[in-house]
Amino acid sequence: MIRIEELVHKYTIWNDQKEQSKKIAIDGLSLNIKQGEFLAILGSNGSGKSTLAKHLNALLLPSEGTVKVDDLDTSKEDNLTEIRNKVGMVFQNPDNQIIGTNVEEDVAFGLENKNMPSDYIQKRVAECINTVGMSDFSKTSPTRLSGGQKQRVAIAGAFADDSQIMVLDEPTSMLDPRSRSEIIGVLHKLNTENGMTIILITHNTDEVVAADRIVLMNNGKIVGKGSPSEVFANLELLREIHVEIPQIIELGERLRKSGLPLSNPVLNERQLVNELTGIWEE
Amino acid sequence: MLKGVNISFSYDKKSASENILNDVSFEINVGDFIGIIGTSGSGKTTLIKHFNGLLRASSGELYLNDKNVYDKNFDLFKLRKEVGLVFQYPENQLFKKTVIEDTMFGPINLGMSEEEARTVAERELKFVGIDEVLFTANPMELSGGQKRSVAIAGVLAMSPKIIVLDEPAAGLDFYTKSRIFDLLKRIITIKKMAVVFVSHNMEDVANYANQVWIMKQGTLISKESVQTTFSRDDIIDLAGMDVPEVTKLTKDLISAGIPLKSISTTVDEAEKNLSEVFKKNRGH
Ligand SMILES: Nc1ncnc2c1ncn2[C@@H]1O[C@H](COP(=O)(O)OP(=O)(O)OP(=O)(O)O)[C@@H](O)[C@H]1O
Ligand SMILES: Nc1ncnc2c1ncn2[C@@H]1O[C@H](COP(=O)(O)OP(=O)(O)O)[C@@H](O)[C@H]1O
Ligand SMILES: [Mg+2]
Ligand SMILES: [Mg+2]
Repeated sequence: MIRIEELVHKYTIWNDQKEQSKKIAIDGLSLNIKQGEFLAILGSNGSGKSTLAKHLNALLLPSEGTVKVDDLDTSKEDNLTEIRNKVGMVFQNPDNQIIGTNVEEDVAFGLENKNMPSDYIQKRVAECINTVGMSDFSKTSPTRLSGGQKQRVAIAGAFADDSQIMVLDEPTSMLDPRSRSEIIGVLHKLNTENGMTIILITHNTDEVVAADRIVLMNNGKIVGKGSPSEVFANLELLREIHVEIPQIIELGERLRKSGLPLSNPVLNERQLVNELTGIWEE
Repeated sequence: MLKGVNISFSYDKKSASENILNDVSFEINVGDFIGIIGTSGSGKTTLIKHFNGLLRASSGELYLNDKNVYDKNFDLFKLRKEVGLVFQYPENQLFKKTVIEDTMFGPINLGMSEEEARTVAERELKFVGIDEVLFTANPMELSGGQKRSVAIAGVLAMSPKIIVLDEPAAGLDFYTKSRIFDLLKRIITIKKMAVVFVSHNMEDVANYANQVWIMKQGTLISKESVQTTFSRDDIIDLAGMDVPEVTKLTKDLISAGIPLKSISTTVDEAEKNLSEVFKKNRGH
């Protein structure tokens, strides 16, 4: 369970060597994330999503307020190792996160650090590389990978760690549509089968219609939250904060407004096909 | 304008068996808005790096206005000037102290005087919608969309005829993404240029491109209109791609017996087509 209370994050900006100013990126944000929850975070560029993500594994520390992971306060240095073991992280830019000299080594990095037995590491690493479809590249150097391939290696590394909580910051931004839905599928599987808590930040809003809960961020604050059907029933708010509306939901709304008796919202393609054929046959 | 004939390429010069591109042929002309799709690792980035000579084909030919680029006498500078490349996450490459200096960098490199470069840089920054007060700001202080606009201005400042962008919308929110694509549309009509972009978002491709190229394992397997591309299930499947959600929807509705005239590739189209048939149906 993660408890965020009145969190404020101020970045220091150095205008030159002496002069500095503060930029408020998180502005008094409170949020509880339940164990085993699949939580999605949506918001425009600069709304504070990545900053919030970095607080969840103590990469950043609160300027004000507190962040607690299973009652461990992130601002206490003694808790650092335990928190980092609990919370796995996939960063926004895979270039900054791939460190191994080849794919295998990179994925093994976290496990090596935890001093796992080497035959376990080998098995686990092969498994995770396979999950993201990169088995043909196990021995390849990261400098020879395409953008999407790097992103998949970063995700495999996080899978390998078997953390209790996984935070993913735009993990699919460079993936093709099928790899994208495969990865999202794996996240749901880890969530339902292993009870892993998933926190997914994304601009691809069609990925969030199956989340347990969606949080909307704007200007460092939470401006809306609820189940997908609650959040997507108020499209005006989403438009206001520049969040993309999935095609099916948008189309459903337009057809409903033009007089067809459709649900609000129609969350996915199957549902819209069913409702439209139902109306047609009447 | 730019024409490739049987271009093959391998990063590893010794083993041609490891070809990343295989006999790729294409043509890019003024007015084109081309979206390139394909699974990751299929060779999209590798292909577009050939367009401005960053990579050189192992075999095959590249023609700029009918002049063979790989000819000994051809001045590669000309290719670099005519074809502007905007990389994936270009904001990582903004490195000067101010926005204006960053935008001037390309033109100065092409041999323009400081003064000339400043004039074109200012013009293009305005064109992409960067406010004058930001010209002297540090690029790091800009928002994600502004940074990307500055990167595009930097390329436009070299007055290319073709602008090529690798996943220009990745990581952008909806509003910012729409602004970038509208900007690209304006570039085509106002500046009489061609735009080529790589994308993993089928919906963006359907909304903006007028031609779709599909890469599969280093081969360009299809070059068709948006409508034709997304109605060809066989090709989409072969390439491991997907169709826009509304295309899936209209296909399934047609299978279910609702008499739509054709599949739709955008929300606007789908709304129009569906409204029509349902109005008729409910009319009786
Ligand atoms: N510098 C390099 N050296 C060797 N091989 C490379 C290099 N860059 C890319 N490759 C390989 O070439 C193939 C094509 O890569 P490319 O970057 O063109 O793919 P892409 O279609 O742009 O993929 P993505 O959608 O993931 O960006 C991949 O198998 C990749 O591993
Ligand atoms: N290292 C940093 N130094 C100064 N300001 C930053 C830094 N990182 C982010 N910011 C600022 O904090 C705000 C929130 O940024 P971020 O958390 O990256 O947003 P998001 O991930 O939602 O796009 C933005 O205004 C951004 O410019
Ligand atoms: Mg971010
Ligand atoms: Mg690429």
